[in-house]
Amino acid sequence: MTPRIDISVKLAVVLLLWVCAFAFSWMYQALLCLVVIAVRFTIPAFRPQSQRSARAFSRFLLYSAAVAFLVLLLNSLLIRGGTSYGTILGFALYEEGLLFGLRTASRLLLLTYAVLLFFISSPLKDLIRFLQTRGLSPSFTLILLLTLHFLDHLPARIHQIFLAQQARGAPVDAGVLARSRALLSLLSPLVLSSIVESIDRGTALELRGFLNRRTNCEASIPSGEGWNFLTILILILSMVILILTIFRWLPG
Amino acid sequence: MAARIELNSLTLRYAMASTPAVSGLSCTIPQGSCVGVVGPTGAGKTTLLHSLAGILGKHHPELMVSGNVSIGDESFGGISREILFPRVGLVLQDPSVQISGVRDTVFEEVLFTLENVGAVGDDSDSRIQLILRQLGIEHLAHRKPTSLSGGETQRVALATILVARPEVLLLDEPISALDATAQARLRSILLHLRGTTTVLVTDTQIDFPLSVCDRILALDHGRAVVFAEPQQLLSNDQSLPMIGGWQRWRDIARELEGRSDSSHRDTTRILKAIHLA
Amino acid sequence: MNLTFDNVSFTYASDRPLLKSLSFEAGPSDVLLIVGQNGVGKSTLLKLSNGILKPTAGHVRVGGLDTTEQRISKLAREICVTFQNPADQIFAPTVEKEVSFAPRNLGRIDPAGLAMQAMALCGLDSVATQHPYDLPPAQRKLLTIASAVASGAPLLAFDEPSAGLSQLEHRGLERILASLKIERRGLIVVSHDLGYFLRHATKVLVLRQGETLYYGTPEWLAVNEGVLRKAGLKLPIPERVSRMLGQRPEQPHV
Repeated sequence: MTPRIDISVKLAVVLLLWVCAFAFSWMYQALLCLVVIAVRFTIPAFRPQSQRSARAFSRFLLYSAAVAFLVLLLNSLLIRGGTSYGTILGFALYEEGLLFGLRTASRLLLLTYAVLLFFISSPLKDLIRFLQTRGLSPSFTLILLLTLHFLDHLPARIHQIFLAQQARGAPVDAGVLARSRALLSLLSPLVLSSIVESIDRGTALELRGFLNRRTNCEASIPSGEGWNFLTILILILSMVILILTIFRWLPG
Repeated sequence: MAARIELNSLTLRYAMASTPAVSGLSCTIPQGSCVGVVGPTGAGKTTLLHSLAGILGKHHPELMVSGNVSIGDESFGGISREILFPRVGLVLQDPSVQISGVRDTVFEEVLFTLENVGAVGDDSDSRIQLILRQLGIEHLAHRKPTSLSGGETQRVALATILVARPEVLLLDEPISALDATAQARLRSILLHLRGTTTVLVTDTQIDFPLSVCDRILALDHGRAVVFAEPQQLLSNDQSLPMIGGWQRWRDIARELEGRSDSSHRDTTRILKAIHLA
Repeated sequence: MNLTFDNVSFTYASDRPLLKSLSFEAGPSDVLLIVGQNGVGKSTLLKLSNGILKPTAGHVRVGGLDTTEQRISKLAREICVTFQNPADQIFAPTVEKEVSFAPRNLGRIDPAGLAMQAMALCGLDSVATQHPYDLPPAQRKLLTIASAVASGAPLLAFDEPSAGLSQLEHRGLERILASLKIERRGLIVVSHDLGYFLRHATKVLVLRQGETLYYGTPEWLAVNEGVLRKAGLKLPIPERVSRMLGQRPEQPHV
């Protein structure tokens, strides 16, 4: 079984990385991006929960890298100032634009990678449970859970609906125009059945006493479950970095 | 401990409906017994179950109610406007919606119920293991609850309710999607609950209730047509065309009555012999 | 117009074989009942019938057309498969529009007429203008069956069509079965409701562990319950009691 780190520690790590994204120079941000990627592959508790998460991480990694490169390029071309480092298709690349682009791109990457690392390695259910033990209302938790369930099963539902309509002759494998006509027959069952099923799921959770959970649950939380020491440490570190950063920004 | 259920001239009408969903229903369901509520679609079976569980009163405050319901020592002025779990447990027609999906294993899914009712303690593990064993699903304890077959899902849904030790268990058309093996398993579970839990099972067909219930309550258009033991039901002259399978069993009962061999007279004994075969 | 499985095997990617060497045929006026325990591959078999899945060995032919060589939309003109969950297909704002969806897609002459006929058979004509989700679940199930009947396909395949139906809807199903026989349309039914469909079936295919355990007449099967037991199935109680009493099987009410 994969060793688990308390979810509050992971949230604190995300916060720390976000603070670093605004505190440090682009070189350290880029280094931290590499650290995040290394953590995903080396630390078991930060490994993806499933094949789907692993594939999603790889895809997002590439897409965000592509976006960051685009940001870098555009800033280099559009912000003029300092030395010119050559031309691309007749457009000059400038030092100031390049530096600004590097800062923006590396910040964007670090912010994105931090969030990605959290979501691929943490089941959302654990997050919701954590929030509930910290006071999130059962009704709001119910909404989050039902949404989560809907998203989890979305690909499978779409596939089932696709097959069912295809079997009735819906033109889902024909031309673009025909397929667009078939769109309603694909989306409508998804929406209608999701609404009905969400109502049924909500009812079923109520029938298991879920809405009385907060009242009853305090007696059910295992003793010793408070704030994790490591979480507090990381939060303190984040605060220190933030304060030091603010000091650097102040005159003198 | 099982609870007795008393219905006194219970009538339930939705605000915009021209006719009541349940009309003048009166009967006493003895504690620890198993009653089959049979009738066609729209007869009021699900409405009755939902009113006993408290979900109907809670979700439809505009519902017009006359008569009243008593469960155990508690009498409601009409029906309960609050969900009565864990006193009254309801397993919905589609048990897959009863699986919360917020836990990774069957064991944790059942524990989720104990958390909801504030009953987590030192004995939780053994309590859950016992329920899983009684339902024949202890081998599924570490399986993902959303990866099970229809029959297994239904037993897990049952476990999530029974772990709370309800006085009353309500099952809404539990066999509609089950194969013969799964139906047989459910039958033995319900027989095992006799005496400790009052059970109501709804169905549109009479086969399953005949084989497991102490009494059958037949509903049609919200009214009770008959409330009798299976043998009385099959031997009386009342016609119940709205109940699926009734005519077939009536013919069998008549055939048995005509037989001279006394060992074949008792339809109930025949049913039991079939289940043991 | 026949559905023919010719030594068909099927394996999901990287899994052990699910279906092995199946051979059977369903033709005009046939009612082929397919039974077996859950997980034996019955739903997969239906998906092979209309080309959604392609066999890993052997051939599936619909009216002589090999399913590996045809588009699914073309095969849908010949065989209409209806899956178990009505919620997977119901989308239209009225019952009438829902039922006429298939004949319109398939370019049938007078799709509205086909829809009216199918709704009348199923007893849904009185609710033609209602929203499908205003109907009780049993009628929604019948709606999907009506929709398949209205498609005009010479072959129909249903996955658990009687699950959740009460007495009234069963009568609608009886009328459909009778109508299909008169129109010489073939029907393939996957169902564990032996009590209902054994009376109507002309052929039965019993599957065990993905292989054919029995393929033949329902009459032989009804008196050889051992075959069903081997497949993990049982005759329903009324049928077993009837056999004990030496009664004739109940005739379908039309």
